[in-house]
Amino acid sequence: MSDTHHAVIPFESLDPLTIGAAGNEDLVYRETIEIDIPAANLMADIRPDEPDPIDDTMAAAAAALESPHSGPRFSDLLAGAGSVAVIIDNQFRPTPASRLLPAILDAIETAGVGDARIVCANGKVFPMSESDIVQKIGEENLARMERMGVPFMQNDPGNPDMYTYIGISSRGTPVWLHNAVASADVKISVGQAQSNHWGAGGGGKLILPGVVSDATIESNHAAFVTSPQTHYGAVAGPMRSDIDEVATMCGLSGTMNVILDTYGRVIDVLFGAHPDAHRESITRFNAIYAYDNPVADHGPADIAICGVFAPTDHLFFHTGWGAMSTDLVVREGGTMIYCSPSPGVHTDLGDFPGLALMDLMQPYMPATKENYERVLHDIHHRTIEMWSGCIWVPIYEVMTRKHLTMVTLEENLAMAAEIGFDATTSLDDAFAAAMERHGPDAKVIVLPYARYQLPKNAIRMEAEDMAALEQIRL
Amino acid sequence: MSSRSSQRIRGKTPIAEILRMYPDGRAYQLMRQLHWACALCGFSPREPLAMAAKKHKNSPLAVLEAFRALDLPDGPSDEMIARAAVRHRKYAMP
Repeated sequence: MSDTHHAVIPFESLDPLTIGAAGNEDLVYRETIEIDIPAANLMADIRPDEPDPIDDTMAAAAAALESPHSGPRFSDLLAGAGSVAVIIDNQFRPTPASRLLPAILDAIETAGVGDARIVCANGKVFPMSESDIVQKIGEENLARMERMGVPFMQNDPGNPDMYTYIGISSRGTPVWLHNAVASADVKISVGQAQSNHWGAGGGGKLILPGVVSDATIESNHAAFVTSPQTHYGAVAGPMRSDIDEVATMCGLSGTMNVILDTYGRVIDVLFGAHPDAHRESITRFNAIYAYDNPVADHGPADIAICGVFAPTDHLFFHTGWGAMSTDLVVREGGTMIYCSPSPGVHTDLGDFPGLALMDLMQPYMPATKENYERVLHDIHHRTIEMWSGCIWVPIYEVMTRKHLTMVTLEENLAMAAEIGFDATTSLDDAFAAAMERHGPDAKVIVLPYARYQLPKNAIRMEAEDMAALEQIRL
Repeated sequence: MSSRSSQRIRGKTPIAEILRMYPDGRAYQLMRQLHWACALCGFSPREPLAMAAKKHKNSPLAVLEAFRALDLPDGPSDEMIARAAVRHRKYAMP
Protein backbone atom coordinates (compact mmCIF):
# COMPACT_ATOMS: atom_id res chain seq x y z
CA MET A 1 0.00 0.00 0.00
CA SER A 2 1.34 3.42 -0.97
CA ASP A 3 2.32 5.69 1.87
CA THR A 4 1.20 8.73 -0.09
CA HIS A 5 -2.07 9.78 -1.60
CA HIS A 6 -1.72 11.44 -5.00
CA ALA A 7 -4.41 14.11 -5.23
CA VAL A 8 -5.33 15.60 -8.58
CA ILE A 9 -7.17 18.86 -8.10
CA PRO A 10 -8.91 21.01 -10.72
CA PHE A 11 -7.12 24.29 -11.24
CA GLU A 12 -8.95 25.94 -14.04
CA SER A 13 -10.93 28.90 -15.22
CA LEU A 14 -13.27 29.50 -18.11
CA ASP A 15 -15.42 32.47 -18.92
CA PRO A 16 -18.98 31.56 -17.82
CA LEU A 17 -20.37 33.03 -21.02
CA THR A 18 -18.25 30.64 -23.05
CA ILE A 19 -19.41 27.71 -20.98
CA GLY A 20 -23.04 28.71 -21.09
CA ALA A 21 -23.13 29.63 -24.74
CA ALA A 22 -21.00 27.04 -26.39
CA GLY A 23 -22.31 23.59 -25.69
CA ASN A 24 -19.01 22.64 -27.28
CA GLU A 25 -17.37 19.46 -26.06
CA ASP A 26 -13.98 20.77 -27.19
CA LEU A 27 -14.17 23.27 -24.36
CA VAL A 28 -14.75 20.55 -21.80
CA TYR A 29 -11.33 19.81 -20.43
CA ARG A 30 -9.70 19.75 -17.07
CA GLU A 31 -6.55 21.56 -16.02
CA THR A 32 -5.15 20.23 -12.81
CA ILE A 33 -2.66 20.76 -10.05
CA GLU A 34 -1.30 17.73 -8.21
CA ILE A 35 0.13 16.93 -4.81
CA ASP A 36 1.27 13.93 -2.82
CA ILE A 37 -0.18 13.81 0.68
CA PRO A 38 1.15 11.37 3.28
CA ALA A 39 -1.53 8.67 3.51
CA ALA A 40 -1.38 8.77 7.29
CA ASN A 41 -2.49 12.40 7.25
CA LEU A 42 -5.30 12.00 4.77
CA MET A 43 -8.71 12.25 6.39
CA ALA A 44 -10.72 12.25 3.16
CA ASP A 45 -10.53 13.11 -0.53
CA ILE A 46 -14.12 13.69 -1.49
CA ARG A 47 -15.27 13.41 -5.11
CA PRO A 48 -18.86 13.71 -6.32
CA ASP A 49 -20.48 10.99 -8.40
CA GLU A 50 -21.86 13.10 -11.22
CA PRO A 51 -24.50 11.82 -13.67
CA ASP A 52 -24.02 11.95 -17.40
CA PRO A 53 -24.82 15.29 -19.02
CA ILE A 54 -28.05 15.83 -20.90
CA ASP A 55 -27.61 15.37 -24.65
CA ASP A 56 -30.10 17.95 -25.85
CA THR A 57 -30.60 20.90 -23.50
CA MET A 58 -33.13 22.60 -25.78
CA ALA A 59 -35.35 19.53 -25.82
CA ALA A 60 -34.95 19.08 -22.07
CA ALA A 61 -36.03 22.69 -21.50
CA ALA A 62 -39.11 22.23 -23.70
CA ALA A 63 -40.04 19.04 -21.87
CA ALA A 64 -39.53 20.66 -18.46
CA LEU A 65 -41.87 23.55 -19.31
CA GLU A 66 -44.67 21.15 -20.13
CA SER A 67 -44.08 18.71 -17.29
CA PRO A 68 -43.60 20.96 -14.27
CA HIS A 69 -42.41 19.61 -10.96
CA SER A 70 -45.27 21.54 -9.34
CA GLY A 71 -47.85 24.09 -10.39
CA PRO A 72 -49.18 24.77 -13.87
CA ARG A 73 -47.46 24.04 -17.16
CA PHE A 74 -45.84 27.06 -18.76
CA SER A 75 -48.38 26.93 -21.57
CA ASP A 76 -51.17 27.08 -18.97
CA LEU A 77 -49.52 30.04 -17.25
CA LEU A 78 -49.40 31.84 -20.57
CA ALA A 79 -52.97 31.02 -21.56
CA GLY A 80 -54.90 34.24 -21.22
CA ALA A 81 -51.89 36.19 -19.98
CA GLY A 82 -51.38 39.63 -21.45
CA SER A 83 -47.68 39.89 -20.68
CA VAL A 84 -44.70 37.82 -19.57
CA ALA A 85 -41.27 38.62 -18.14
CA VAL A 86 -38.48 36.08 -18.46
CA ILE A 87 -35.65 36.77 -16.03
CA ILE A 88 -32.25 35.34 -16.91
CA ASP A 89 -28.95 35.51 -15.03
CA ASN A 90 -25.90 37.53 -16.07
CA GLN A 91 -22.41 37.20 -17.51
CA PHE A 92 -21.02 35.78 -14.27
CA ARG A 93 -23.27 32.72 -14.26
CA PRO A 94 -22.78 29.85 -16.72
CA THR A 95 -26.49 29.09 -17.17
CA PRO A 96 -26.87 28.32 -20.89
CA ALA A 97 -29.65 30.83 -21.57
CA SER A 98 -29.06 30.61 -25.31
CA ARG A 99 -30.12 26.95 -25.24
CA LEU A 100 -32.98 27.36 -22.77
CA LEU A 101 -34.66 30.37 -24.35
CA PRO A 102 -35.80 28.73 -27.62
CA ALA A 103 -38.36 26.60 -25.80
CA ILE A 104 -39.56 29.60 -23.81
CA LEU A 105 -39.88 31.77 -26.92
CA ASP A 106 -41.69 28.90 -28.68
CA ALA A 107 -44.23 28.78 -25.87
CA ILE A 108 -44.71 32.55 -25.82
CA GLU A 109 -45.21 32.61 -29.59
CA THR A 110 -47.60 29.66 -29.53
CA ALA A 111 -49.66 31.27 -26.77
CA GLY A 112 -49.80 34.50 -28.70
CA VAL A 113 -48.57 36.64 -25.80
CA GLY A 114 -47.68 39.85 -27.59
CA ASP A 115 -46.14 41.69 -24.64
CA ALA A 116 -43.04 39.80 -23.55
CA ARG A 117 -39.66 40.94 -22.31
CA ILE A 118 -36.41 39.33 -21.20
CA VAL A 119 -34.75 40.94 -18.21
CA CYS A 120 -31.21 40.31 -16.99
CA ALA A 121 -30.91 39.77 -13.25
CA ASN A 122 -27.63 41.60 -12.92
CA GLY A 123 -28.51 43.03 -9.51
CA LYS A 124 -25.91 45.69 -8.77
CA VAL A 125 -23.26 44.19 -11.05
CA PHE A 126 -22.37 46.23 -14.13
CA PRO A 127 -24.57 45.40 -17.12
CA MET A 128 -23.70 42.96 -19.88
CA SER A 129 -22.02 44.50 -22.91
CA GLU A 130 -23.30 44.00 -26.46
CA SER A 131 -20.91 41.11 -26.99
CA ASP A 132 -21.86 39.59 -23.63
CA ILE A 133 -25.53 39.76 -24.64
CA VAL A 134 -24.84 38.03 -27.94
CA GLN A 135 -22.98 35.25 -26.14
CA LYS A 136 -25.50 34.89 -23.35
CA ILE A 137 -28.68 34.96 -25.40
CA GLY A 138 -27.37 33.82 -28.77
CA GLU A 139 -27.67 35.51 -32.16
CA GLU A 140 -30.59 33.37 -33.29
CA ASN A 141 -32.61 34.12 -30.17
CA LEU A 142 -31.81 37.83 -30.44
CA ALA A 143 -32.98 37.88 -34.06
CA ARG A 144 -36.10 36.04 -33.10
CA MET A 145 -36.76 38.39 -30.20
CA GLU A 146 -36.50 41.30 -32.59
CA ARG A 147 -39.02 39.67 -34.94
CA MET A 148 -41.36 38.98 -32.02
CA GLY A 149 -40.90 42.46 -30.53
CA VAL A 150 -39.40 41.09 -27.32
CA PRO A 151 -37.06 43.67 -25.75
CA PHE A 152 -34.04 42.82 -23.62
CA MET A 153 -33.51 44.88 -20.47
CA GLN A 154 -31.04 44.84 -17.61
CA ASN A 155 -31.38 45.80 -13.99
CA ASP A 156 -30.56 49.46 -13.54
CA PRO A 157 -30.06 50.15 -9.84
CA GLY A 158 -28.77 53.67 -10.49
CA ASN A 159 -32.15 54.71 -11.82
CA PRO A 160 -34.81 54.79 -9.07
CA ASP A 161 -37.51 55.63 -11.63
CA MET A 162 -37.22 52.08 -12.97
CA TYR A 163 -38.81 50.47 -9.90
CA THR A 164 -42.25 49.75 -8.50
CA TYR A 165 -42.81 49.56 -4.76
CA ILE A 166 -44.14 46.14 -3.75
CA GLY A 167 -44.14 46.17 0.07
CA ILE A 168 -42.05 45.06 3.04
CA SER A 169 -41.04 41.48 3.72
CA SER A 170 -41.74 39.94 7.12
CA ARG A 171 -38.06 40.39 7.96
CA GLY A 172 -38.19 44.08 7.11
CA THR A 173 -36.79 44.24 3.58
CA PRO A 174 -38.46 47.03 1.58
CA VAL A 175 -39.05 45.79 -1.96
CA TRP A 176 -38.86 47.79 -5.15
CA LEU A 177 -39.12 45.63 -8.26
CA HIS A 178 -37.98 46.51 -11.78
CA ASN A 179 -40.96 47.93 -13.69
CA ALA A 180 -40.49 45.55 -16.59
CA VAL A 181 -40.98 42.61 -14.24
CA ALA A 182 -43.55 44.22 -11.95
CA SER A 183 -45.85 45.00 -14.87
CA ALA A 184 -45.87 41.47 -16.28
CA ASP A 185 -48.75 39.05 -15.65
CA VAL A 186 -46.44 36.02 -15.76
CA LYS A 187 -42.92 36.10 -14.35
CA ILE A 188 -40.47 33.23 -14.66
CA SER A 189 -36.79 32.95 -13.81
CA VAL A 190 -34.16 30.90 -15.62
CA GLY A 191 -31.08 30.21 -13.56
CA GLN A 192 -28.52 27.85 -12.09
CA ALA A 193 -29.46 25.95 -8.94
CA GLN A 194 -26.61 25.33 -6.54
CA SER A 195 -25.96 25.39 -2.84
CA ASN A 196 -23.89 28.32 -1.71
CA HIS A 197 -22.98 30.40 1.31
CA TRP A 198 -26.23 32.35 1.19
CA GLY A 199 -28.08 29.04 1.34
CA ALA A 200 -28.69 28.47 -2.36
CA GLY A 201 -28.44 30.16 -5.73
CA GLY A 202 -31.00 30.38 -8.52
CA GLY A 203 -34.80 30.51 -8.33
CA GLY A 204 -36.03 33.51 -6.34
CA LYS A 205 -32.52 34.89 -6.23
CA LEU A 206 -33.07 36.12 -9.75
CA ILE A 207 -35.68 38.44 -8.23
CA LEU A 208 -33.58 39.48 -5.22
CA PRO A 209 -30.90 40.65 -5.90
CA GLY A 210 -31.44 40.20 -9.64
CA VAL A 211 -34.14 42.69 -10.58
CA VAL A 212 -34.77 44.81 -7.50
CA SER A 213 -33.52 48.23 -6.47
CA ASP A 214 -30.30 49.24 -4.76
CA ALA A 215 -32.12 49.79 -1.46
CA THR A 216 -33.76 46.36 -1.57
CA ILE A 217 -30.48 44.60 -2.30
CA GLU A 218 -28.52 46.46 0.34
CA SER A 219 -31.25 46.06 2.96
CA ASN A 220 -31.46 42.28 2.51
CA HIS A 221 -27.72 41.76 2.27
CA ALA A 222 -26.78 44.06 5.16
CA ALA A 223 -29.29 42.37 7.43
CA PHE A 224 -28.66 38.73 6.62
CA VAL A 225 -25.25 38.02 5.05
CA THR A 226 -23.43 37.99 8.38
CA SER A 227 -26.05 35.98 10.27
CA PRO A 228 -24.62 32.71 11.64
CA GLN A 229 -27.76 31.08 10.23
CA THR A 230 -26.80 32.14 6.69
CA HIS A 231 -24.48 29.39 5.57
CA TYR A 232 -23.87 26.77 2.91
CA GLY A 233 -26.98 24.68 2.46
CA ALA A 234 -29.20 26.94 4.62
CA VAL A 235 -32.21 27.30 2.35
CA ALA A 236 -34.10 27.82 5.62
CA GLY A 237 -31.65 30.50 6.75
CA PRO A 238 -32.75 34.12 7.06
CA MET A 239 -31.12 35.32 3.85
CA ARG A 240 -32.54 32.73 1.50
CA SER A 241 -35.90 32.71 3.32
CA ASP A 242 -36.16 36.46 2.83
CA ILE A 243 -35.19 36.11 -0.83
CA ASP A 244 -37.86 33.48 -1.44
CA GLU A 245 -40.49 35.47 0.43
CA VAL A 246 -39.66 38.59 -1.59
CA ALA A 247 -39.90 36.57 -4.81
CA THR A 248 -43.33 35.39 -3.69
CA MET A 249 -44.37 38.97 -2.90
CA CYS A 250 -43.21 39.95 -6.39
CA GLY A 251 -45.42 37.29 -7.94
CA LEU A 252 -42.76 34.98 -9.34
CA SER A 253 -44.89 32.48 -11.23
CA GLY A 254 -42.33 29.79 -11.88
CA THR A 255 -38.66 28.96 -12.05
CA MET A 256 -36.59 27.04 -14.56
CA ASN A 257 -33.54 25.65 -12.81
CA VAL A 258 -30.56 23.95 -14.35
CA ILE A 259 -27.85 22.02 -12.57
CA LEU A 260 -24.45 22.17 -14.20
CA ASP A 261 -21.75 19.61 -13.51
CA THR A 262 -18.19 20.56 -12.63
CA TYR A 263 -17.38 20.83 -16.33
CA GLY A 264 -20.28 23.22 -16.90
CA ARG A 265 -22.47 20.66 -18.69
CA VAL A 266 -26.20 20.58 -18.04
CA ILE A 267 -27.17 17.55 -15.97
CA ASP A 268 -30.69 18.55 -14.93
CA VAL A 269 -33.41 20.94 -16.10
CA LEU A 270 -36.51 21.43 -14.00
CA PHE A 271 -39.45 23.84 -14.20
CA GLY A 272 -42.26 24.47 -11.76
CA ALA A 273 -43.90 26.78 -9.28
CA HIS A 274 -41.93 29.05 -7.00
CA PRO A 275 -40.45 28.14 -4.55
CA ASP A 276 -41.11 24.38 -4.83
CA ALA A 277 -39.32 23.75 -8.11
CA HIS A 278 -36.18 25.52 -7.03
CA ARG A 279 -36.12 23.62 -3.76
CA GLU A 280 -36.44 20.37 -5.65
CA SER A 281 -33.49 21.39 -7.83
CA ILE A 282 -31.43 22.18 -4.74
CA THR A 283 -32.38 18.80 -3.29
CA ARG A 284 -31.17 17.15 -6.51
CA PHE A 285 -27.98 19.24 -6.44
CA ASN A 286 -27.29 18.25 -2.85
CA ALA A 287 -27.91 14.59 -3.68
CA ILE A 288 -24.89 14.81 -5.99
CA TYR A 289 -22.56 17.25 -4.29
CA ALA A 290 -23.28 17.06 -0.54
CA TYR A 291 -21.08 14.56 1.28
CA ASP A 292 -21.20 12.60 4.50
CA ASN A 293 -19.34 14.78 6.96
CA PRO A 294 -16.18 12.95 8.03
CA VAL A 295 -15.84 15.23 11.04
CA ALA A 296 -18.17 12.99 13.05
CA ASP A 297 -15.67 10.12 12.81
CA HIS A 298 -12.37 11.94 12.58
CA GLY A 299 -12.89 15.36 14.13
CA PRO A 300 -12.36 18.53 12.09
CA ALA A 301 -9.53 18.73 9.61
CA ASP A 302 -6.41 20.75 10.33
CA ILE A 303 -5.76 21.40 6.66
CA ALA A 304 -8.10 21.53 3.67
CA ILE A 305 -6.95 21.57 0.06
CA CYS A 306 -9.55 22.99 -2.32
CA GLY A 307 -9.69 23.13 -6.08
CA VAL A 308 -11.49 25.37 -8.50
CA PHE A 309 -13.34 24.10 -11.56
CA ALA A 310 -14.01 25.98 -14.74
CA PRO A 311 -17.64 27.11 -14.40
CA THR A 312 -16.78 29.04 -11.25
CA ASP A 313 -15.17 31.84 -13.26
CA HIS A 314 -12.05 33.97 -13.69
CA LEU A 315 -12.31 35.92 -10.43
CA PHE A 316 -11.46 34.71 -6.93
CA PHE A 317 -14.51 36.77 -5.96
CA HIS A 318 -16.57 33.99 -7.56
CA THR A 319 -14.31 30.96 -7.18
CA GLY A 320 -13.68 31.61 -3.49
CA TRP A 321 -17.16 30.75 -2.21
CA GLY A 322 -15.96 27.27 -1.34
CA ALA A 323 -14.02 28.83 1.55
CA MET A 324 -17.33 29.06 3.37
CA SER A 325 -18.27 25.42 2.80
CA THR A 326 -14.78 24.22 3.67
CA ASP A 327 -14.99 26.27 6.86
CA LEU A 328 -17.62 23.79 8.07
CA VAL A 329 -15.14 20.91 8.23
CA VAL A 330 -11.88 22.64 9.25
CA ARG A 331 -11.03 23.30 12.87
CA GLU A 332 -10.64 26.77 14.34
CA GLY A 333 -7.09 27.88 13.64
CA GLY A 334 -6.81 25.41 10.77
CA THR A 335 -5.49 26.10 7.28
CA MET A 336 -7.41 26.25 4.03
CA ILE A 337 -5.34 26.01 0.86
CA TYR A 338 -7.41 27.35 -2.00
CA CYS A 339 -6.11 26.57 -5.49
CA SER A 340 -7.57 29.11 -7.91
CA PRO A 341 -5.82 30.42 -11.02
CA SER A 342 -8.15 33.46 -11.19
CA PRO A 343 -6.75 35.04 -14.34
CA GLY A 344 -9.10 38.05 -14.22
CA VAL A 345 -11.77 39.22 -16.63
CA HIS A 346 -11.90 41.26 -19.78
CA THR A 347 -14.95 43.50 -19.88
CA ASP A 348 -16.35 46.30 -21.93
CA LEU A 349 -15.01 48.69 -19.28
CA GLY A 350 -11.52 47.25 -19.17
CA ASP A 351 -9.54 44.35 -17.76
CA PHE A 352 -9.99 43.51 -14.11
CA PRO A 353 -7.48 41.39 -12.17
CA GLY A 354 -8.20 38.01 -10.64
CA LEU A 355 -8.51 39.51 -7.15
CA ALA A 356 -10.81 42.34 -8.25
CA LEU A 357 -13.27 43.27 -5.48
CA MET A 358 -11.35 41.21 -2.93
CA ASP A 359 -9.28 44.35 -2.42
CA LEU A 360 -12.30 45.89 -0.70
CA MET A 361 -11.17 44.03 2.42
CA GLN A 362 -7.82 45.79 2.36
CA PRO A 363 -8.79 48.63 4.77
CA TYR A 364 -9.76 45.96 7.31
CA MET A 365 -6.66 43.82 7.09
CA PRO A 366 -5.29 41.91 8.87
CA ALA A 367 -8.37 39.75 9.33
CA THR A 368 -8.92 39.77 13.09
CA LYS A 369 -11.96 39.64 15.33
CA GLU A 370 -11.35 43.28 16.28
CA ASN A 371 -11.20 44.35 12.66
CA TYR A 372 -14.30 42.28 11.89
CA GLU A 373 -16.13 44.51 14.37
CA ARG A 374 -15.11 47.44 12.16
CA VAL A 375 -16.48 45.56 9.16
CA LEU A 376 -19.81 45.01 10.91
CA HIS A 377 -19.90 48.63 11.97
CA ASP A 378 -19.28 49.84 8.45
CA ILE A 379 -21.86 47.45 6.97
CA HIS A 380 -24.53 48.94 9.15
CA HIS A 381 -23.28 52.46 8.58
CA ARG A 382 -23.70 51.65 4.89
CA THR A 383 -20.02 52.44 4.29
CA ILE A 384 -19.55 48.92 2.96
CA GLU A 385 -21.76 48.11 -0.02
CA MET A 386 -23.07 44.62 0.46
CA TRP A 387 -23.68 43.79 -3.22
CA SER A 388 -19.95 43.06 -3.16
CA GLY A 389 -19.62 42.62 0.60
CA CYS A 390 -21.92 39.61 0.36
CA ILE A 391 -18.88 37.73 -0.95
CA TRP A 392 -15.78 39.33 0.48
CA VAL A 393 -17.18 39.78 4.00
CA PRO A 394 -17.93 36.04 4.56
CA ILE A 395 -14.48 35.14 3.22
CA TYR A 396 -12.96 37.76 5.53
CA GLU A 397 -14.91 36.38 8.48
CA VAL A 398 -13.51 32.91 7.80
CA MET A 399 -10.04 34.45 7.64
CA THR A 400 -10.46 35.84 11.16
CA ARG A 401 -10.65 32.24 12.39
CA LYS A 402 -8.62 30.23 9.90
CA HIS A 403 -5.52 30.66 7.82
CA LEU A 404 -6.28 31.00 4.11
CA THR A 405 -3.52 30.40 1.59
CA MET A 406 -4.28 31.01 -2.05
CA VAL A 407 -2.41 29.01 -4.70
CA THR A 408 -2.70 31.06 -7.85
CA LEU A 409 -1.06 32.45 -10.96
CA GLU A 410 2.09 34.51 -10.53
CA GLU A 411 0.33 37.59 -11.92
CA ASN A 412 -1.91 37.71 -8.82
CA LEU A 413 0.86 37.64 -6.22
CA ALA A 414 1.57 41.38 -6.13
CA MET A 415 -2.08 42.29 -5.63
CA ALA A 416 -2.47 39.52 -3.06
CA ALA A 417 0.45 40.94 -1.11
CA GLU A 418 -1.01 44.43 -1.38
CA ILE A 419 -4.31 43.20 0.09
CA GLY A 420 -2.61 41.12 2.76
CA PHE A 421 -3.52 37.70 1.35
CA ASP A 422 -1.17 34.77 1.83
CA ALA A 423 -0.59 33.60 -1.75
CA THR A 424 1.87 31.44 -3.63
CA THR A 425 2.18 29.72 -6.99
CA SER A 426 3.22 26.42 -5.41
CA LEU A 427 0.77 23.97 -3.86
CA ASP A 428 3.71 21.97 -2.53
CA ASP A 429 5.06 25.03 -0.72
CA ALA A 430 1.62 25.92 0.64
CA PHE A 431 1.13 22.36 1.90
CA ALA A 432 4.61 22.20 3.45
CA ALA A 433 3.97 25.47 5.29
CA ALA A 434 0.61 24.18 6.53
CA MET A 435 2.17 20.92 7.76
CA GLU A 436 4.84 22.96 9.53
CA ARG A 437 2.10 25.01 11.16
CA HIS A 438 -0.01 22.05 12.29
CA GLY A 439 2.59 19.34 12.93
CA PRO A 440 3.20 15.83 11.60
CA ASP A 441 -0.17 14.47 12.75
CA ALA A 442 -2.21 17.10 10.90
CA LYS A 443 -5.42 15.76 9.39
CA VAL A 444 -5.93 16.71 5.76
CA ILE A 445 -9.15 16.86 3.77
CA VAL A 446 -9.24 17.34 0.01
CA LEU A 447 -12.27 19.05 -1.51
CA PRO A 448 -11.48 19.36 -5.21
CA TYR A 449 -14.83 20.97 -6.05
CA ALA A 450 -15.23 22.99 -2.87
CA ARG A 451 -17.68 25.56 -4.25
CA TYR A 452 -20.19 22.83 -5.00
CA GLN A 453 -19.38 20.56 -2.07
CA LEU A 454 -21.00 20.85 1.33
CA PRO A 455 -21.40 18.50 4.29
CA LYS A 456 -24.83 16.90 4.35
CA ASN A 457 -25.45 17.95 7.92
CA ALA A 458 -25.28 21.64 6.88
CA ILE A 459 -28.42 21.31 4.77
CA ARG A 460 -31.45 23.15 6.12
CA MET A 461 -34.25 22.90 3.58
CA GLU A 462 -37.31 23.89 5.56
CA ALA A 463 -37.98 27.60 5.57
CA GLU A 464 -39.40 29.26 8.61
CA ASP A 465 -43.16 29.26 8.84
CA MET A 466 -44.09 32.46 7.06
CA ALA A 467 -47.80 31.77 7.40
CA ALA A 468 -47.76 32.43 11.14
CA LEU A 469 -47.80 36.21 10.96
CA GLU A 470 -50.50 36.22 8.32
CA GLN A 471 -52.67 34.07 10.55
CA ILE A 472 -52.24 36.47 13.46
CA ARG A 473 -53.25 39.35 11.23
CA LEU A 474 -56.36 37.46 10.15
CA MET B 1 -0.59 70.63 -18.08
CA SER B 2 -3.50 68.25 -18.37
CA SER B 3 -4.17 66.42 -21.59
CA ARG B 4 -7.43 66.36 -23.50
CA SER B 5 -8.84 63.30 -21.76
CA SER B 6 -8.26 64.62 -18.24
CA GLN B 7 -9.93 67.90 -19.15
CA ARG B 8 -12.95 65.91 -20.20
CA ILE B 9 -13.34 64.48 -16.71
CA ARG B 10 -15.93 66.49 -14.83
CA GLY B 11 -17.93 65.86 -11.73
CA LYS B 12 -20.81 64.76 -13.93
CA THR B 13 -18.73 62.30 -16.00
CA PRO B 14 -20.08 58.77 -15.42
CA ILE B 15 -17.75 56.16 -13.93
CA ALA B 16 -18.08 53.86 -16.94
CA GLU B 17 -17.00 56.65 -19.27
CA ILE B 18 -13.91 57.35 -17.18
CA LEU B 19 -13.00 53.66 -17.25
CA ARG B 20 -13.32 53.63 -21.03
CA MET B 21 -11.05 56.70 -21.30
CA TYR B 22 -8.22 54.67 -19.81
CA PRO B 23 -8.21 51.18 -21.32
CA ASP B 24 -4.78 50.64 -19.77
CA GLY B 25 -6.51 50.38 -16.38
CA ARG B 26 -5.24 53.62 -14.81
CA ALA B 27 -8.68 54.77 -13.77
CA TYR B 28 -9.51 51.31 -12.38
CA GLN B 29 -6.28 51.36 -10.38
CA LEU B 30 -7.17 54.74 -8.90
CA MET B 31 -10.65 53.48 -7.93
CA ARG B 32 -8.96 50.54 -6.22
CA GLN B 33 -6.71 52.91 -4.30
CA LEU B 34 -9.83 54.73 -3.11
CA HIS B 35 -11.36 51.33 -2.17
CA TRP B 36 -14.24 51.84 -4.57
CA ALA B 37 -15.96 48.89 -6.21
CA CYS B 38 -17.41 51.25 -8.82
CA ALA B 39 -15.67 49.66 -11.79
CA LEU B 40 -17.69 46.49 -11.41
CA CYS B 41 -20.85 48.09 -10.03
CA GLY B 42 -24.16 48.40 -11.81
CA PHE B 43 -24.18 52.10 -11.04
CA SER B 44 -21.17 52.70 -13.28
CA PRO B 45 -23.05 53.54 -16.51
CA ARG B 46 -24.97 56.35 -14.79
CA GLU B 47 -23.08 57.30 -11.63
CA PRO B 48 -21.33 60.64 -12.05
CA LEU B 49 -17.87 60.87 -10.50
CA ALA B 50 -18.94 63.52 -7.97
CA MET B 51 -21.90 61.40 -6.84
CA ALA B 52 -19.64 58.36 -6.48
CA ALA B 53 -17.29 60.46 -4.35
CA LYS B 54 -20.15 61.59 -2.12
CA LYS B 55 -21.52 58.07 -1.85
CA HIS B 56 -18.16 56.87 -0.63
CA LYS B 57 -17.91 59.88 1.70
CA ASN B 58 -14.88 61.25 -0.12
CA SER B 59 -14.42 64.88 -1.07
CA PRO B 60 -15.74 65.38 -4.63
CA LEU B 61 -13.16 68.09 -5.26
CA ALA B 62 -10.25 65.98 -4.05
CA VAL B 63 -11.53 63.02 -6.08
CA LEU B 64 -11.89 65.15 -9.19
CA GLU B 65 -8.37 66.46 -8.74
CA ALA B 66 -7.00 62.92 -8.47
CA PHE B 67 -8.84 61.69 -11.55
CA ARG B 68 -7.82 64.73 -13.58
CA ALA B 69 -4.23 63.94 -12.66
CA LEU B 70 -4.41 60.57 -14.39
CA ASP B 71 -2.87 62.19 -17.45
CA LEU B 72 0.07 63.72 -15.64
CA PRO B 73 3.32 61.94 -16.50
CA ASP B 74 3.46 60.33 -13.05
CA GLY B 75 -0.30 60.20 -12.50
CA PRO B 76 -1.87 61.46 -9.28
CA SER B 77 0.61 61.99 -6.47
CA ASP B 78 0.41 60.01 -3.24
CA GLU B 79 -0.78 63.18 -1.52
CA MET B 80 -3.59 63.64 -4.04
CA ILE B 81 -4.70 60.04 -3.61
CA ALA B 82 -4.53 60.33 0.16
CA ARG B 83 -6.65 63.51 0.07
CA ALA B 84 -9.17 61.84 -2.22
CA ALA B 85 -9.32 58.70 -0.09
CA VAL B 86 -10.18 60.46 3.19
CA ARG B 87 -13.63 59.50 4.39
CA HIS B 88 -15.21 62.48 6.01
CA ARG B 89 -17.63 60.81 8.30
CA LYS B 90 -16.33 60.51 11.85
CA TYR B 91 -16.78 57.02 13.17
CA ALA B 92 -17.29 56.20 16.81
CA MET B 93 -17.37 52.56 17.70
CA PRO B 94 -20.42 51.77 19.81
